[in-house]
Amino acid sequence: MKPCSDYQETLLLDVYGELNLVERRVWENHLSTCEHCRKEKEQLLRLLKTIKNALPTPTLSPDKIAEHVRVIQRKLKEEANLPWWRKARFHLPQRLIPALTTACVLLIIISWFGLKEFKKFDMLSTSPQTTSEEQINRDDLEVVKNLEFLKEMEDVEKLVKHLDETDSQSPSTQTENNNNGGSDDA
Amino acid sequence: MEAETEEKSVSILNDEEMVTRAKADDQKAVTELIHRYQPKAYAIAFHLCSEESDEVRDVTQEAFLKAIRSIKKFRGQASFSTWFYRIVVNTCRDFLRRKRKKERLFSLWPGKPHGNEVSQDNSKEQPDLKGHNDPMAVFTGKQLTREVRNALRALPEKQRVVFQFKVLNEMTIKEIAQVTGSSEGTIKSHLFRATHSLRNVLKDWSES
Ligand SMILES: [Zn+2]
Repeated sequence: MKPCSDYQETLLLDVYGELNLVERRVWENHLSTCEHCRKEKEQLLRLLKTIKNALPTPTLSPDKIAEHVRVIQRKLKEEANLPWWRKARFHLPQRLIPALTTACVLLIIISWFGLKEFKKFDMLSTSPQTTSEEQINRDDLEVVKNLEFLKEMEDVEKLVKHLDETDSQSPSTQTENNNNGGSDDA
Repeated sequence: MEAETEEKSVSILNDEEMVTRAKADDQKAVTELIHRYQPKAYAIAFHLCSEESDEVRDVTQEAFLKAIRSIKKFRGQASFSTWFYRIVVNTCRDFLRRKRKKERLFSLWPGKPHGNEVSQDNSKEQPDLKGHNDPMAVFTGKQLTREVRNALRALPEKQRVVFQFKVLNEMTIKEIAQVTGSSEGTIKSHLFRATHSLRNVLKDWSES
């Protein structure tokens, strides 16, 4: 005769109602002669009963079930009347929807800006250039423009200096200038 | 009279025949399938993802909508029940994922209570305790519910899910294996480990 330890799995399968006929016959033979296993079985059954009682499965009233069924049917009817492109989203995995939306938005943005840059590039030059190269060229152009502006500023300063010198030679004009400044301050 | 006879005839059809009719857009068959599986779907969602009745209702409805939308893709390799329970389980998973994400977001918000804490103690909703007049029995019942719930929560997720399917949803080991896509041996192993742990933790309650 097998020792009790060999019946551990059989004992558990028994309390879970999962023994086949042959297994059951052998097990019942053992049970009839072994008080230890009988007690073990009783204790396990009590444990499962305790758990089931502590966490009962809710039963829905027929009214509640009917209400659920109505809601589901209404939703199905509403869906059936939707255009195909709105129905399509029900067949996509829910988790993928945000990712797909983001991908679409990115694609639109990239193609929009890409197109704009492409047009600019077409107008500026006919030789193939990368965007970064174009950026550098544009920066250079800005510096050259600034240098020209500074040069112009220098010329203006020279002119002002020259005028100042001429002014200091005729005092009547200087007084007039001072008066103007005074009236501005007031 | 004729309609009534037809309705009766639909309800005696087995799942396979009903699915064939539902695939051909027979609304009566669809309705009967929902009627037939509503209690079980509700019970699975209740134990697996939420004990808030509104949430359970929403998850169950979503699972039915998914199943009916894709019923034409059901090829009958597994039984309809297995196929459908798998949809319920996946819908629960998606629901929990969304819920956890929301809770994480709210936990960053100062002063807001953590969503999970609110829904964790539902002992007041236990229907089996409502009929008791004895305050001591009510207290003991509530305490027991809390202890059992905590003991289940302390289990590794796979063990807990298998145990719940078996004990609370009364599914067979074969069904659980098909629904979860695991072998029967794996399911037995999870179930036995869970039983062993629960027996240790709940010793005081089950030994008398
Ligand atoms: Zn024995």
